[in-house]
Amino acid sequence: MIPSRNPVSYPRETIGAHLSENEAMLRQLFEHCFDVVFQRVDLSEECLILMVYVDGLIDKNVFASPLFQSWVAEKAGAGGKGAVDYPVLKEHFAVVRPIRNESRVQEIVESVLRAELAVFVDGEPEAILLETSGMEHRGVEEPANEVAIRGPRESFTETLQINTSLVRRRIQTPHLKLEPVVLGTFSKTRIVIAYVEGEARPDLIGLVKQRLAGIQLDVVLESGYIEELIEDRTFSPFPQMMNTERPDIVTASLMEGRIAIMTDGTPQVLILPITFWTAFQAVEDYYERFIYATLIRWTRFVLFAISLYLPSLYVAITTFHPQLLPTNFLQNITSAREGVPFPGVIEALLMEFLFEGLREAGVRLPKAVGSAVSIVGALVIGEAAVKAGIVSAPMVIIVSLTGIASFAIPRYNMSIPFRILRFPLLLSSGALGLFGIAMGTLLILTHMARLESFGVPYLSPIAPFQPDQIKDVLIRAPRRKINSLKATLAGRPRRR
Amino acid sequence: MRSNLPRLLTAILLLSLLTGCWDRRELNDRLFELASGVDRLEDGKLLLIGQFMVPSTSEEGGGAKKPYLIETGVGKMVSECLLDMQLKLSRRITRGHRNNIYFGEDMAKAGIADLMDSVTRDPDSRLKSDIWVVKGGTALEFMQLSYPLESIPAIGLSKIRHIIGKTTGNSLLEILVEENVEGSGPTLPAVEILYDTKLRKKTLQVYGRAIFNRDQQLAGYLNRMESVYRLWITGETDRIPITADLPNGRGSFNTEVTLLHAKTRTAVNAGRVAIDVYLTGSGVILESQPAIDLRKPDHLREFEDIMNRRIEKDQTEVIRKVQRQFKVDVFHFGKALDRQHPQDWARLKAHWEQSFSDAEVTVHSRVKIKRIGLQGPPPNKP
Amino acid sequence: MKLTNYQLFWLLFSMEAGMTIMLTLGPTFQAARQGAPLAMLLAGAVSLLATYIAAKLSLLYPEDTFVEYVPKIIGQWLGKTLVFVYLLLWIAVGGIVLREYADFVHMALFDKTPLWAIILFMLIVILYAVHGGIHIVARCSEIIGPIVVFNIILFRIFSLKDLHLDRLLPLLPSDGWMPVLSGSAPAASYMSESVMIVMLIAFIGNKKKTLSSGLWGVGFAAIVLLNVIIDTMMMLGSTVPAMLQYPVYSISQYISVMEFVQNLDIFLVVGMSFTVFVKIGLYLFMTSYGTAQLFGIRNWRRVLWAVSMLVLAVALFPRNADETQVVFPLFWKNIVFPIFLFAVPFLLWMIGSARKRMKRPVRPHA
Repeated sequence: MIPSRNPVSYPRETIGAHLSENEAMLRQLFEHCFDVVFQRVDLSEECLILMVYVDGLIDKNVFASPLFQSWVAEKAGAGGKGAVDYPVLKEHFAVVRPIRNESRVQEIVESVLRAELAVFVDGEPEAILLETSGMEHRGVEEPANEVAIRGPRESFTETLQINTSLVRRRIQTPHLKLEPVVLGTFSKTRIVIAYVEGEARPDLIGLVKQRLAGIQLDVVLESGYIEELIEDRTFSPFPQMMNTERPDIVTASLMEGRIAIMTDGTPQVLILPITFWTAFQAVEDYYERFIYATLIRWTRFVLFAISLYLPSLYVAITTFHPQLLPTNFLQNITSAREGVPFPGVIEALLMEFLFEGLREAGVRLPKAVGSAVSIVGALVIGEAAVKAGIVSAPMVIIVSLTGIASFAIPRYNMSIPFRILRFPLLLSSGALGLFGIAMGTLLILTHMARLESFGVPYLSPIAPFQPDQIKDVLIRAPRRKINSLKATLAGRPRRR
Repeated sequence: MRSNLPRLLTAILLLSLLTGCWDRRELNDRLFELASGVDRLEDGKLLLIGQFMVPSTSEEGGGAKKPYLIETGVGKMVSECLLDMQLKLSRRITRGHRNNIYFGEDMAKAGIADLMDSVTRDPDSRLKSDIWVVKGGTALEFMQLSYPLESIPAIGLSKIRHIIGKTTGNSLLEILVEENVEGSGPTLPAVEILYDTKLRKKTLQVYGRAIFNRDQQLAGYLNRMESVYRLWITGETDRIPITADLPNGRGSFNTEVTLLHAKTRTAVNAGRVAIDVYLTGSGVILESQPAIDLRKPDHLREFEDIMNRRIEKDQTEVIRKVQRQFKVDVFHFGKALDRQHPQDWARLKAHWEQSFSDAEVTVHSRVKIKRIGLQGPPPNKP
Repeated sequence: MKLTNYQLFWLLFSMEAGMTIMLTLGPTFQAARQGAPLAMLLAGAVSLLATYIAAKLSLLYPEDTFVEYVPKIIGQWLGKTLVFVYLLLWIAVGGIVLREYADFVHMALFDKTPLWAIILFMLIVILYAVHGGIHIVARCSEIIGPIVVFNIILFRIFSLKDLHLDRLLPLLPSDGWMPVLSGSAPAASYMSESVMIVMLIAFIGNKKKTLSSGLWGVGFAAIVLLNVIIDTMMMLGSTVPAMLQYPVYSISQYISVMEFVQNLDIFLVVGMSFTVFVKIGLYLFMTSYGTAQLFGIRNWRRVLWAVSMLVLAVALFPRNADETQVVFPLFWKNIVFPIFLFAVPFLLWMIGSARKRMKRPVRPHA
């Protein structure tokens, strides 16, 4: 483990009784931090009250509350001597806001940064900490990336409390456990491990906690930071966790015995363990009727195969095995390719590269410009290049078909490995034809067979075959059947 | 770290494998042979003719260029001819799409036994091909014919074969099987070049069947009706048009018989083979000249009877012709005998040609007329 | 490394089906002619028997592999020698299968690509799987097996219209049963390779249904083979396939659906690659794991590298297709098949069960 760089050094362990000393120390710690406010309340000459907080993080309404004001007045009136009068404050205030006193400097500093209000009273070696968090945050909006025609329109936000509440509202049982962990020596990001007790395997929960405990990070900005550090195998194109911004997906996964990791500051929640087949399960499969869901799932399988294989198949067939093409078809393709200067593989690689470029440009560019890029791209590549005889028309069709197919995989992060693997497959098909594709397929298959996500084989329940779990993989079985499946599984240790 | 070395080596190996594109060949470096023909030259050498697809360059073509190219090669063996031909061509000959092979009549007469190997040994050339015998002509002549309907004449012939209800691409396999069956006579479809004197143009027409003897030399032809009668017995066709005449010059009628089925019964009586062929099917009247109302069952029965006698007579003639002229069993009678009387077959198979020629064949036709069309009598003959 | 019975089924099926379909049909037709389907049926029965014996034998010592229990049955030295011979045989057959496969691929797809490239590429892919352990190969076979079956069904449907029922008859050739018997030998000798389960049963978790799933795996492969041979016969008759090197390959060239789906031979090659992957994977695992056990090497994965080098050497050794497809099968059929796939396991089973019955405590050394 790498020790976190540049740890904060505190001049002293606890605060003293002198307010001015404390203030000087804190001012030094918070030097050049203009957002940290030191507010003195000088009601009389002798008694001083100092309030320290981060501007913007706390709810300033607290100053206006009569309770607070009366307490301050009373405190000042007492001449600043004697014990800090907690009972009064607590009695009135704790009803609304948590309150405690603290003498350790580190704790005080961290609390202030965590959006608490610290109140120092001269002569007291303890500070009062008030939780008054009132940070600005985004409200719950429609999911931006995971759109569903039917189903809830809520999505997670950047605020952890809102996210946990969205889940809690859907699972109203004490069995839903939300265990907090703090990660990041600088960011102090709050993370919640969510699971449903009795559904998730205890050893899995233990494994997740153990892996999370092993993480040493300065800053956690996104769940991706955690994902990469706790996944089974980093050197694999396949994601071993799923991320989602939809509370309904998280809820369903939790009820299937999976574990969700929610990170403060990002709407993306991690779900684990997953299998390969998760890539083909969309939320709507469970909202629509089962016949449609099954058919559409098969459509996805086909589209997946297209997105992975089509360009390499085209290259293999045209450059190695033209006898696979029917004669009329062959005539068209040969004519279209006549005069194209590139060999088939190079042409395909070039076009695929261009397509990826267009996609990337489309994602990065501001919305207003994005459409312009796609129009220019379509025009330049689709029309001009073919007209000029640089690229053959069938290749343009192939590449665009592949592109469309790759968008049909419901989970974005699961479509990435296939986009990546398309290129090595293309290369091997260019070298060895269909034999190359077969070998590439075998390599991919073997890799997936070796891969595990938190102890769950990536290809299960197909390989290893678990007949009792197969009902939601190749088909989406009618709900009655799935429910009965759930019932037979209840209380079994090995299930997800 | 120790386990990383093999991985690294593997990665390097895979990459190095990827760089060697040994067998890659672009479409534009290939020349697709769609049909080939073999003729026998006077000196006994072979003339191989290839019909190749020429890709049209983009859209400006406008029919100026012929979409196909014909090239020839000469040699003692087919592969020699192929090499000879390749030396004239800038693109690699690819035979994966060859569906039609033509043998000139001289070639067929000289024997095709030595040609078959070149067709089936090469993994690139496909088993699903049709071999045609060009009746009364050479393959070269035939392949030079242009065919207006299809871009490449060879495709046209395949389509004709499809239209007349034959399976396309099975004649190579069929002759291979027949050649290997004892006593069986190999056959191939035949085409001819037709000069239409009225339209003043040459065109191609499917003729019928070329019959080979056991030495795989051309023995003769069956014309189109004879071929269809033969196919009825072997069960390879699904329709046959029959024209029969009513006695006393009352006129003719035409029936199309479908759902064809044939059964062969064999018997051996004192060394002589007796064969009974039972033909069944259901007919539809396509045309009827006589002023007879077919809605009356009696009339229909008469028609049926006349038609069946006609079928029996024609079929018997076809069989007789084969027995007399070609002396090879092209009707699978030997197979039927093998199945029905294995002991007799074991005794007869050595000289089956003779036994077949001497066999007494009786044809029984039991075709039923199922439909008469839209009217009873002809509309203008009440 | 644990296997399930279901995985055993697919492992055996994939291992049996691929190469056997491709390589044994020609010899079967050569010998049995019209009786080829009967010969294949017989071969299936024989291989089932071999599998039964092998399974029974290793179920005597359910937790031990072949390498471990043979010395327990017939004594340390004899046992170890015998095991060593078996390991050599398995290495040899692994290499030869790899070569046969490469020859076939080379014939079907390539022209200029060197043979070693095909062999090496395949071997690397297999190594990657075997390195993960036998359960990885098993998982792959669980995906591969159903795909292969699906393909066979598809081929069956596509070929329906080209079948001539009359070519199937008569079932028995006119010269009696002898040709059928000799015709069943090539296929039986290939399919009796399922004796390899003596190395696999130790890894199976729940051994209650092992015997039946092993037999089903072999039986299913036999059914598929029977189906293919009948298909071949109905399309080509019984004389043409006897002259062909790969009759099934020729058939797949012939199939055409609506003039659009045609020349399916290439997909056959792909399907073959999948099953050969499983087969050689099994052999590699067995030999390297067995060698490690025999010589007391703790990490079998290190033996794997050596064994795969050996297999590679064997695969590159023969000069032409003749040596791999004629000489070796002859050796396999006439020597290995009767002795090592039948007699030895049978004797071991007899001795082993006699020992068990006598309730003599098995001493570690004798």
